[in-house]
Amino acid sequence: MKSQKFTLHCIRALVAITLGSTMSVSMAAPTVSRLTPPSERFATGVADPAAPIIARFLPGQRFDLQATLRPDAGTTITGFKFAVDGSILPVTASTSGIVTTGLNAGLPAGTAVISKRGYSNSVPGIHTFTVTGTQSDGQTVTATGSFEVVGITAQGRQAKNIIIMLGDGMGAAHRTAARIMAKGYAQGKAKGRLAMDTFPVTGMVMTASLDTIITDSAPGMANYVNGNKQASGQEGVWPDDTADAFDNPRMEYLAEYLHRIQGKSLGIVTTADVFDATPAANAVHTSNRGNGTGIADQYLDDRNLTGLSVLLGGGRKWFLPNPSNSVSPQAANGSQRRNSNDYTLSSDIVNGWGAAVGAKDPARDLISDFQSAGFTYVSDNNSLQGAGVPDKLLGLFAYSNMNVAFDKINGRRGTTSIVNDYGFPDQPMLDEMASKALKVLAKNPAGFVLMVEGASIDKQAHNMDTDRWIEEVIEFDRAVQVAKDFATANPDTLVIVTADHETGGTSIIGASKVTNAELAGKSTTTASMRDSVVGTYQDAKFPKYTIAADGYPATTDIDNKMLIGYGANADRYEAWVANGEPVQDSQQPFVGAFPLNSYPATVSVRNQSTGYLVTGQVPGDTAVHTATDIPLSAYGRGSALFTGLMDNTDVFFKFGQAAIGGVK
Amino acid sequence: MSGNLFNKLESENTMLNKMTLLRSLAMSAAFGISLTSASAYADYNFNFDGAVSGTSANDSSINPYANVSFLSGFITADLDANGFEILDNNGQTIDGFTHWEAYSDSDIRVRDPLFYDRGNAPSASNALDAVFEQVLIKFSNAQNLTGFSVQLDNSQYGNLSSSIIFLDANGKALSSVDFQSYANPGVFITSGPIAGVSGIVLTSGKLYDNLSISTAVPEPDTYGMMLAGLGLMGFVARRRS
Repeated sequence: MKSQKFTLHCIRALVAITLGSTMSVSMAAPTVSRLTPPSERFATGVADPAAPIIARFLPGQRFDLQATLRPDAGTTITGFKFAVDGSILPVTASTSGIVTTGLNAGLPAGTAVISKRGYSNSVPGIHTFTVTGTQSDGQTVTATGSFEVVGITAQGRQAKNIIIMLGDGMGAAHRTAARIMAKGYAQGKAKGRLAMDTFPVTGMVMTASLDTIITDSAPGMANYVNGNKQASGQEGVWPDDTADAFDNPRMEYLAEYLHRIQGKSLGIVTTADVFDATPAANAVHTSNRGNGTGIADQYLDDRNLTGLSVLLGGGRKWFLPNPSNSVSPQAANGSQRRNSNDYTLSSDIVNGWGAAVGAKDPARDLISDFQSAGFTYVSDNNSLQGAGVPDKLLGLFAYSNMNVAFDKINGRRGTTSIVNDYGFPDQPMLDEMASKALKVLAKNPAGFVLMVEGASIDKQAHNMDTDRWIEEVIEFDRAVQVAKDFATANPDTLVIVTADHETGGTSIIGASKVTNAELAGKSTTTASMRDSVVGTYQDAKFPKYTIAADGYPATTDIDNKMLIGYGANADRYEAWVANGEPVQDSQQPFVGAFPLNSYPATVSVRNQSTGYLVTGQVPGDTAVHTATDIPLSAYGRGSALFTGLMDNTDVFFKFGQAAIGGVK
Repeated sequence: MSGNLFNKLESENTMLNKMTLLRSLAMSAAFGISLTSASAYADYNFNFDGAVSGTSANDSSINPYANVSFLSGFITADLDANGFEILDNNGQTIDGFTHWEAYSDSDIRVRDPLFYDRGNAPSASNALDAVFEQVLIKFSNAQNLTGFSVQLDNSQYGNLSSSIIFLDANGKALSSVDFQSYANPGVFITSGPIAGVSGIVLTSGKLYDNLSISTAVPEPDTYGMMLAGLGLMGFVARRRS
């Protein structure tokens, strides 16, 4: 009996719960599934300031407000309003409509994305913002987030010029390895210092991005220059729920901000393809770092927002017209422009930011358009050096990523013809590009922001091509010296040297116990190539490299050479000697044709016949980025701000203080 | 670095520490300005147009007032009784324990705003160049301001938060006027009466033009004699310490 009563109660309770659930569904209000800028207040409900403030801005720095609203089944979103600190933001041309098309797959029917573009707030402190959505049955929902405006205090003289030397993937080990190779050690002391070693202020940087402890280069760079966390593969934007990679909610870059309020110019110099994540994350707003056509177009189209005056690197394939809109077959001129990765912008973005509308135009001759906008165009080192000091400069020295220093120097020495295989035998070194960029940018009395990237430190560390990335650091450091010399001559200049992240879990594990000739004769067994070669601790001694007159090692294959290990490695065959050819670069438009298709296809097959297998800890063909903190060195006006442990977004606010409020 | 002498005097003599006139005297000594040359003016008006762009703002063709100088200012920590900077545990300055001083290599100039692509000066052809410097206008003797106005350059450029800061003889803020210099071309910034002003900071990011400062003029004879007498006392006190 008791059991029957209990069962009856259970059935009643179940019915009540079911009815209640049904009732709550039918009576539910719409929901807010995303509120941008991101905040812990919205994500977790933790009240500020107990949780970290995720979104921070300099006074007046522009950014977008956006929300994703999900109505109840059978209803639609019919209205919305944004408010900051309780004050409703008026509907203007920078307010979007209720966007329900073009959304990511899988969202419930009726989901709507709404935006307020180009908002700014000049009042220092933590602010709350709310979105209120109304659905067709009159029910509403309100969600609250928070952001902070970080104040700037007038303190002293300003840093008129900011130079960011970005060694992509350059962790502490990369710097140490370059010092050992370029300067040498004697009885435990370095015989010389890298240029970056001579910077008086050193800090450490935490590099996490919005969605992971392991950043990629897009947020890794962008976090420095807009003060906000970006998600993987994204630059100058936060995630959203639309499929369009160019309509994400934006935040203003350092260059845009300082161009708008001070009239500064922007220079971007890289050894990578200029569409690559690091260079683009100084000027371009997209959630897909791979959208090369739109990225290249935006450099020019929004030059009046960024002040872009210098753009040097590889990437000609995005600038050449491609009327066929196809890369299969590959256009003969090397162009890879196509509609699928180009852009157009909605009117709310255009009005909120003053941005160009854009166009999907694979046939565009972007080099010609740059020239029409007043840029001098150079295509090789000879024309770079002969260009004088124009007001604006575009240099595209390769179809995609430039050749690495190892191969450029050997090309200049006439010892290898890798650069010829790529079709660009006269590529400038990074210091030559930086030197020219500084001359051009210095013409602006209002100052400039210059980002110089040693891109292939990362790319060759991914490939675990030790000799190539070490020489890449040496090349980068020579550019650092150029920047330092400029700042010495122009004391109103701030220079920082840092990285977006560490690549490879790179470690200096020791040095070879054998001569290069002996190494070349080793069998491929682990016992032969590891146990009898790798000298650790005192067996490593001090490897001694000879530096040639051009500033680079005469050879990296010395007797008892320095040996590098990788803690974030994929499978590889390690032979310890310099690889004659780099692995194929999939970004090169003619990588599928001879001679580039004769290069090692991947790291996992390179040296199969000459090396021993080192089993990787990560899947895939390359080493990966790591979450380790990375060093930052600073020189010049405001450098004292860059000490201690800092988040990568903190760097932006230090730039702001130095460039606007000045420093004692 | 200018101003150290004054700070030293301040920390060594608590009695004189409260004497505003002596502060003025000591700061004048710190900046190398002789009180005997100080003149009492009712109004100080600058259009910065008396010489070519790039001329020092302290050139007599720009600045005819012997008791006024244009310097490059910075904010720094106060000193404690032992002469050490008052800082927090992180080595940072603490609000309320800072004051303004001037760089010893100050070099403030007048400039045609066209140089920075900032349009024409409100009064052609120059303005005071504070684009990269916090300009510190120093008076060799404290002034009782009855009016102040300055005009921003004609460009949209500037800072989102700018200030005019009025300083006492210790370089501490008496009052300030906060404004947005960005996107406010040609706007006049004004302030009402403020007593005991020994310095005015025009924060950086802008060129300033048509600077006008009105003061209540003290009785020159008695004021000057009193300053001179107190000045002698101050230096005697320092020698004995």
